[in-house]
Formats: sequence, structure tokens, C-alpha cells
Amino acid sequence: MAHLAWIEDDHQRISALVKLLKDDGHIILPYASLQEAQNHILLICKCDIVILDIILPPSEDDPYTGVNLLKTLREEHDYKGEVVVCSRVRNPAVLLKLQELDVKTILNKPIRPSTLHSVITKILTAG
Amino acid sequence: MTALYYIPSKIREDLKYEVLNQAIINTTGPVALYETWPDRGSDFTINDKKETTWPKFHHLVLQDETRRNLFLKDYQKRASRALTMEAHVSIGWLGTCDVIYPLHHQSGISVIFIGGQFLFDDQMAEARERLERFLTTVESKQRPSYRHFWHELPRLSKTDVSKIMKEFELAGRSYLLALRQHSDLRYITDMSTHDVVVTLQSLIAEIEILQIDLKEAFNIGKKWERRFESLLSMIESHNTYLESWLERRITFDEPQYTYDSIVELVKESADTFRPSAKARNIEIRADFEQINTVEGKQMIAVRMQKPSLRQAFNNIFDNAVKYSFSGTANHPRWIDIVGRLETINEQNGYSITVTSLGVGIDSDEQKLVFEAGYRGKHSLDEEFFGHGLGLYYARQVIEKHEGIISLQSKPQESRKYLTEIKCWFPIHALQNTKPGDR
Repeated sequence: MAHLAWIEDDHQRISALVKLLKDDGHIILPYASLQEAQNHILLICKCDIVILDIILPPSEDDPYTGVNLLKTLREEHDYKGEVVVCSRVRNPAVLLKLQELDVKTILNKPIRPSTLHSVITKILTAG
Repeated sequence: MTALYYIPSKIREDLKYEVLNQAIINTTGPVALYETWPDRGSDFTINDKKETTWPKFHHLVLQDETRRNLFLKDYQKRASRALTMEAHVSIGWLGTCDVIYPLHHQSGISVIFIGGQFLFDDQMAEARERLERFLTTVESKQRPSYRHFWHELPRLSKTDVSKIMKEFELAGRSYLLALRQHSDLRYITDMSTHDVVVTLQSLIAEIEILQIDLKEAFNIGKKWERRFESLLSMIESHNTYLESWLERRITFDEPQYTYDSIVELVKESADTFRPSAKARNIEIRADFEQINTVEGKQMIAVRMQKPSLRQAFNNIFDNAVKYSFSGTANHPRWIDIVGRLETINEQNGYSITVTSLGVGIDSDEQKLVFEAGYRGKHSLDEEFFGHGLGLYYARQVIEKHEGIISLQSKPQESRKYLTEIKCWFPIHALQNTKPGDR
């Protein structure tokens, strides 16, 4: 049983995406905004895997706030766990930044629940 | 605004060339553009060779290639000093002058235009001195060519130089504006498609979970699994279509047009669908009016952007096969393709008509089926999967090719319809045009 942080502003609308993971007994901790995630950053750092959407509110100045959150996790809190990005951004600069922040898996939405389940299971098994 | 950094390098290059070409036309001289990015390190690149002493510049110099490297280095030395200066005339290594116009953007990005290789009236004495000093460093046999080059340069007055500075200011501002607009467009695209994608994501997730739950609870058979799979694939293909449509709109790529045979393109497209048609005992028959043959191909030359036009016909044939009634081994059905020369509004053209017998479209819907997302009510039966975008796309593409597309669907006996989709294209020279000519 793993703890999975799910940082996704639309987690209520797309809750079915993580159903197979819940059925496996994993604990899913959802956070809908950058602020909410930052308020629970210490809890997120204890999770085995972080599932991260890149586009999170607020997004007036910089739409890709998920990248900033990841930067905080890696650099300020030394988070070493795997981060799986589930998003829909093709911006080359953002993709490069994610690579630099040690993101090995990027799933472009829309994703099937079985795909996410397979990726997470593989990571947990390998770990 | 950090989003200014998020421009694919190809598009930045295209924008630069566009702005620089305009600056060259207006100033009639070679132009270099420099940019400084606040968070870049101390890399310096010249002709892909890295040096580490200077702040990084992205530069373009359009000038005599044989002197390119020397000019580049000279430009960059002076550009680095120009960051803190107002627009001014600077004298270079050969005594030739450049107008340097720095443009500072509020985000910290600087764009500097340098246009050179002229002699400035007010600085002739210094220019001559620099020339002579330079000539002492080169071999004597090279000196005449440098002198000749120097004397051939235009002499500019203060008024001329002011005009060039103004042109550079306009060019620099338009470059920054174009970057900003593109960045905003990409941001808007990401934001607007975010909402659409969430809907698609929700659908895909719910449908797959429903499929899994039904399989577990009721052991649904393969037929139902295939239908769920088709539904999921349809949603995913819609997403792919949306992405490629959006990507075309935010890049500045101009499609490549060539003169090619419309008959050969239609034949290739039809051939793709022969196997799936045959599986349902549907025969695809073709009858093309022949004009002439070039290199073994019927050369009805239409100016076309091949990939998109092929996709348009793929959509038309996909519909024709999908909505045709199946035949039997003894009584196969058919889809007819007829190609004929046709003049419309005094323009020579060629029409391709695809006719099939099957699910039809009522007369009040025949124009609506070309609108995005619209599906005829007879096609809403659950066995016909589609998202109402095929004919919409086909019309967009055919109209871009200055063509015309129309549809007629006439009821026959026993709830069958004879549906005809006709595409007409203006044609160009029928002779002496080889495939792939531009």
C-alpha cells in the first residue's frame, strides 16, 4: 500500500482516473491548487509518488505553476521520490525544465486509468 | 513575463528572419540582431562554437560570408557595450560604421540591432585612421581589396543615420511584439485546451472504468469490449485531431504547395480503403477522364498541399465506406469515383465525385454536415462511430485549395440513399508540368 500525492485542480471531475489505484489499496491524497499543495508540502514529501498536473491555479503570471511546485519539492525539501507528470503541455521549454527536475515519466492527457495504474504499479514494483 | 522564453527556436528563427529582412530592406545594409536573456549564463556562441567569456547572444548577421566571422566578433564586442548606451553610431574594426539601437524590454530582455558597413560623414577622419591601422595587420596583396571595399561603402549623413535608427526601433519593437503575441497565443491555447482536455479526460476515465466494472460484474463478451474500445479510440482520436489543428494555428509554418496529379492522389487515398470496403463486399470503382500522361501518371495538375488534401479525401472515403450498406458475395455494393474535366465560372477545373448507396442525409441537413461537430440524424445510430469533423476538415482544406465541395443525398427505395460528394479543383497547365513542380 503506497501513499500517492495527486496534485490536480480537476481531481473531482476526473476522479475515475485514480480508481484502479484506490482499488489496489493505495492512499490517494488530492490537492487542487498550488496553495493547497504548499500548505501540505511536508505531507506530500512523505508520499511515495507524486502525480502532478503542470497547469494549476493561480495562473495569471505563469500558467505552469506545477513546475514551480516541483522545483520547491526537489530543491527546498529534497524530495527524492518519483514524480509522474499527468498534464497536457507541449511547450518545449517546460518539458526541458521537467527533465532537469528529474521527471522520468510524462503522461499526456487524456490518459486511461489503466495506463496510469500500469505506470504507478511499475514504479512501485521497481522501487 | 517569463512566458516570452517559451518559444520554439524554429519559430524564433522565422520571426527573426522576417524582422531582419524588413530591416535590411528599409536600411539597405547588413543587419545583426542581438538578444540578451537575463537568466542566461556566460556562454557565448559564434557559429556554433562555444566560448565562455561573453554574455550569450543570439545573433544573425546577413552579410558577406567571407568576412562573417571577423564582423561577428567585432559586432559582439560592441553589442555588449551597447547594452548601457543609447542609440548611437559605432566605428568598427575596419573603420566602417554601425548604427546600434538597443531596445530594452520590461522583462529585462534586450534586443539590439546593429546595421553596418557604411561611412559616417561626421567620423571620416577616425574611420580612415582605423582602416590604415587595420591594413598594417594584413598581407600587402590583400590590402587593395580591403581599400576597394572601404571606398565602395556608402557615406551617410546624420539624417540618414537617424532614419536607420528609427527603422531599427520599429523592427525591434515588432520583433518583441511578435514574440509576445506568439507566447500569449501558446499560453491561451494551453489554457483553452486545458478545459476541453479535462472533459475528454473525464469521459475516457469514466468509460474505461465502466468497461472494467461491467466485465467484472457481468462478464461482457468481446463484442462489447470492442465497442468500448472503439468509443475510447474515438475520443482519443478527437484529442489528436484537436492537437494537430491547434498546432498548425500557433506555428508559422507555411504549407508547401506543389503541382501534382489530383487523379493519382485520389487513387492513393481510395486504395487505402479498398481492404475495409472489400471486407463488407463493397467494391470501389474508379473512372477518371484522361488528359495526358507524364512519367506514367495522369497529369491533371492541381496546386496542392499534399498531406492535407490526402487527409481530406481520406475523410471522404472513410465516410463513404462507413455509411455504405454492406453487400453480399453474390450482390456486392459499390462506391463509384468519377473524375471529369469541368469548367466553372470560366475556370478550367477537374471534379471528383464519390457516390455511394447507404445511410443518407436528409435535405435539410445536407449543408449542415460540413459544420464542425454535426452528424446527420441517420448516422447517429450507435453502430456508426464518428465525431462530425471529417467533412468539416475536408471542406476547410478543399476551400484552401480554391476548390468547391458539395453534397447531395437522394432517397431511393427501401430507406436507401444515393449520396454524392463532389469536389472541384481549378487545374493548371496540363502539359509540361511534372509531379512535384512548385
